Amino acid sequence: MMEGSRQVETSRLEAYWREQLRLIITLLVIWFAVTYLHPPFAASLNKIKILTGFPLGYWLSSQFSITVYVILIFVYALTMNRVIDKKYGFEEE
Amino acid sequence: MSQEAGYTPLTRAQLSEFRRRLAKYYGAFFVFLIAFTVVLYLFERAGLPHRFIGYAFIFLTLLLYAFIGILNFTRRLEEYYVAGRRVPAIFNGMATGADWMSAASFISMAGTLWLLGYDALAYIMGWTGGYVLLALLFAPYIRKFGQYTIPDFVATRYGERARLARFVAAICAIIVSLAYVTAQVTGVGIIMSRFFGLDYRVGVFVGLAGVLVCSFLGGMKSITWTQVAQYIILIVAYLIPVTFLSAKLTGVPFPQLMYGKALSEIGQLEQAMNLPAYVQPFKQALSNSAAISAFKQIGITPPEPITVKDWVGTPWQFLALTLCLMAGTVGLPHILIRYYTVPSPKEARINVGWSLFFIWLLYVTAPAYAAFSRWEVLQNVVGQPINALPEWTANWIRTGLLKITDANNDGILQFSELSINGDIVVLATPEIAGLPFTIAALVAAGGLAAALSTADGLLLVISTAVAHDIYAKIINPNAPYGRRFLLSRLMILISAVIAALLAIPQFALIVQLVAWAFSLAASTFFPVILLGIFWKRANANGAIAGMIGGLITCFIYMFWNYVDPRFNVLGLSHLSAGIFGMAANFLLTIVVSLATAPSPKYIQDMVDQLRIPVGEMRLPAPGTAPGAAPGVAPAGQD
Repeated sequence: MMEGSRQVETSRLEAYWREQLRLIITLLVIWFAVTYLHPPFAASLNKIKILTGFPLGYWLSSQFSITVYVILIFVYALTMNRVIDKKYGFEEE
Repeated sequence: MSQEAGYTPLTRAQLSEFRRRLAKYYGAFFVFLIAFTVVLYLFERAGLPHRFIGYAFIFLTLLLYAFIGILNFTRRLEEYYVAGRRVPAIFNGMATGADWMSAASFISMAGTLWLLGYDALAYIMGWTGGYVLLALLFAPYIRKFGQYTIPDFVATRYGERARLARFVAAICAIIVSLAYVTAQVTGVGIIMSRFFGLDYRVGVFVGLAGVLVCSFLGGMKSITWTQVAQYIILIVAYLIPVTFLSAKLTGVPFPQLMYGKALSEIGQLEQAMNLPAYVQPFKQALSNSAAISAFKQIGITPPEPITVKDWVGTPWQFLALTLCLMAGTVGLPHILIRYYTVPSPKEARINVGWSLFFIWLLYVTAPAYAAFSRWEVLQNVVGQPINALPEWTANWIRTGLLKITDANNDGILQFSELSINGDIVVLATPEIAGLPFTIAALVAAGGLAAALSTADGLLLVISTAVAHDIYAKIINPNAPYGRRFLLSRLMILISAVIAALLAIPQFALIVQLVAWAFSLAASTFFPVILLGIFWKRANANGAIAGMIGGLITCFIYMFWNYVDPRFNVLGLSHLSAGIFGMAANFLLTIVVSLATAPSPKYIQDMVDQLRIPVGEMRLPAPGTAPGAAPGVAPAGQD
């Protein structure tokens, strides 16, 4: 009985950790993409002008990427706190 | 002994009541700051000399920091080290913002963008993107661990060799933080001398007094609440001038959006004058000019000037520097300990979001400063008769930050005849925008707040590394609380004085140290903490080998490339040396861990506990740790 409930507990923790890792990896892929994929092409991207006249390559580094970073963290925090923790019963006591 | 008796965390209701009260205090403070600025402006119009306005700003802000510091006097370890773990996420976000943004971010960032153009965006991306790693990989786990210092974490996670791991981690924390704090003290001295006309050395000591009043009495508790106030001052001071400048130049008071217009105007002016394009990426060549000036200062015959242009036009330096700054951000102990101070791991997750939001506000604005002032210079300064330059230039030529020489004697200023110190970009913007001196004094107060708040956090890290980690945990585990406090306060004083003594000669090498602090942090803490949380197989032998090997690798690349840039990999400069230290650290930690026995079960169970966001950590009591560790089963905590 004791042994059985401990096994259920362990597999719940493992599933929780796997789901956490899945979220972290997904968000890290986005983080990687917005950090490293555009700078190598900045020179060509700069030929395109957007908004009030920003060269696109410059704008991606100076505004787009860093704004995505802020969003990524809030997405992570809210998904963890409101969805994943709840699903596995780790709500604030 | 690690948990202080009789210190209970606040309940949820108490926490939200606390949050409301804080919002009221800081709201009132914000209104007061604006009112104070307006009143001083009225005095200025009535003829109060500029010097007194400047003094009023320093005096008022230092008085305020002292007031908050005294109000938060504490004799409790839990408050002294981690502000009682009751700082709400949004306020800890502001405190982290102030802790993070130093004199370099406030004053020099926009200047660096002015000088380097696109290449300097590596700093903007690196110093913000690191927070994503911090949120996803570190913050909630660090909070769940819930001790006092980063060496605490390293020593507990790598508990088989707790004393050695702690010692190495404490030494790394001291090296990184001392390098950084010296630069802050230098920044304070520069602001004091440029704005308030004080002698640089006097400025250093006035600034030091400012640091001490915040951190001496109340440790982390008073530092935190001072930093929130300092954040408000610095962000208001940063946003006001450039908003007015944007309104003046484009008619729209929204600089972050409108500097696109400035960039396209700059592009046209550059074409007309045959100048290299500002937004063109990867223009930096490697050179040892920085090393030469550093050597000259200490009286050594400098090596030959060397410039390596082989790698200009390739993105490697940009990408590596971005990664190095990100990993360094995550490894800086004074930022990591901020996540001990929130009430729970869930709050820590949200907290990093707020931290980055408050930092983002400044970093998204810095390129606007650079673009507007470059536009102003290209349009109204370059190409003008030298005796008819705009009014604002005269003041800055006098300070030596702006130099003009009519090399070809035609009476017209060419771009190449102009030499600009980057710091001018933020400092001169109030004048370029035609704002009163009161705003310039506010900007100086903001720069001072940025430098002081960062220095506070760093001094606390150094003093706890000595008093808590080295003395109380290694040398004398039975030391009474009273003696720990005494030593901690004494260490703050001693490290402040050391920092001041290092800052007085204004060695170029010291400024370089800040840039290197990120490499050092990336080479030491980042890999071992990351693997400590995510890879149970990592053990003490691996971590100790990793930290030492990372530090050595980083130092070797740094100094070798610094004096002889012909030594490089893919054109990476000494600024990105952390890449190699980090790789060495990861490699050594993994290889040595796999070659030696895994950590004992009680440590692996501890890692399991770290990964659960609720409940208190149950750590094995010191001394009883090896072998059987009752009560550390990961299950059933919620």
